Amino acid sequence: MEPTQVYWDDVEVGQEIPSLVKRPTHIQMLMWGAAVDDYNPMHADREIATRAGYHEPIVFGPLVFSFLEQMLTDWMGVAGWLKKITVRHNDPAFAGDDVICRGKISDKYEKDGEHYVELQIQADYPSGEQGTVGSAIVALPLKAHAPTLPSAEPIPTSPWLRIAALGKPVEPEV
Amino acid sequence: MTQADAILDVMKAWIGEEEPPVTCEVDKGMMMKIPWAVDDPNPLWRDEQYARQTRYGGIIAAPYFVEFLRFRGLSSYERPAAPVSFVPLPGNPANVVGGEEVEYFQPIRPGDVITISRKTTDVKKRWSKKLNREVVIQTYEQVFTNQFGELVATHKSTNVKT
Repeated sequence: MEPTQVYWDDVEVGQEIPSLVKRPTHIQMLMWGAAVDDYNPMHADREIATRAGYHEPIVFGPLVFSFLEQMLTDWMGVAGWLKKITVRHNDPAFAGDDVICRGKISDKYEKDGEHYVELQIQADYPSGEQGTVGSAIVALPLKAHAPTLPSAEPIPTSPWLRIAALGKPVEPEV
Repeated sequence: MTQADAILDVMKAWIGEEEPPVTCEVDKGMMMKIPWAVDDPNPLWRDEQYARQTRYGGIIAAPYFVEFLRFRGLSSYERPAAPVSFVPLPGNPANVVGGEEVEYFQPIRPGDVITISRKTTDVKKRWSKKLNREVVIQTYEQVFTNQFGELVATHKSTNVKT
């Protein structure tokens, strides 16, 4: 795969960055919870989620936050640096929702010799248009300081998530 | 006294209290497991051969690895006593993350020893339209430093006790 890098010189205020669509499943919630050691029953126990006003367990806010960071790091490339990110979770997502991450450049400036862009970011899902909103500051390289880019291949992701994405087994026709 | 008042009574004492810090030795497996769970195929987090050719000279943790460290700082399996965040609250409320703000200063690499400190910065009541009752909002701050004493990241979060 040809390596790509975005440069500060090339970006403009108002420009949208490539969106990222994620579909968290119950299996992914299990994986995330186990990976970070978060066993908050709000994400696993229907009764507790109901008591807090939801119809079923909710997707971890920090997982949606991670999806937004994945969108940003995919876009900024290996020579970019995510400096700051702020999010507010307005509404939770639920397992099986399409979580659509979007970002738009809202500012571009130079400070202390670094070149920054600011972005407005959001994640939309069926239960919440702008369910998660926020902003991010990313440092980008200048074209004049373009690094040599190694060729990049996305590496395999979990087969458990691929299996989960296929859904329930279908009964074979007799 | 409402449940929110009772919770507030307990939590008010936490404001400004620095909890005992937790230290975490970062290993590659830990670093790689988090992007695996996020389903993030970026080779910088998991492909050593690729990462060696970048300016980092090796794999670094995905930014959201801080979420793992955050919970490491909250978990009690390494502590002699439960951290204050797991002290039972009146009515046993659930916790929902309402917002997060993270600043990143240094990359995290395999072998780093990260010290995590944490303190509650504010506790207040707010009316929940969804639940039609008062809930308690806790804001806290976690600071992550490495073995060189460098600031790696800071994390501020807003948590709703429903």
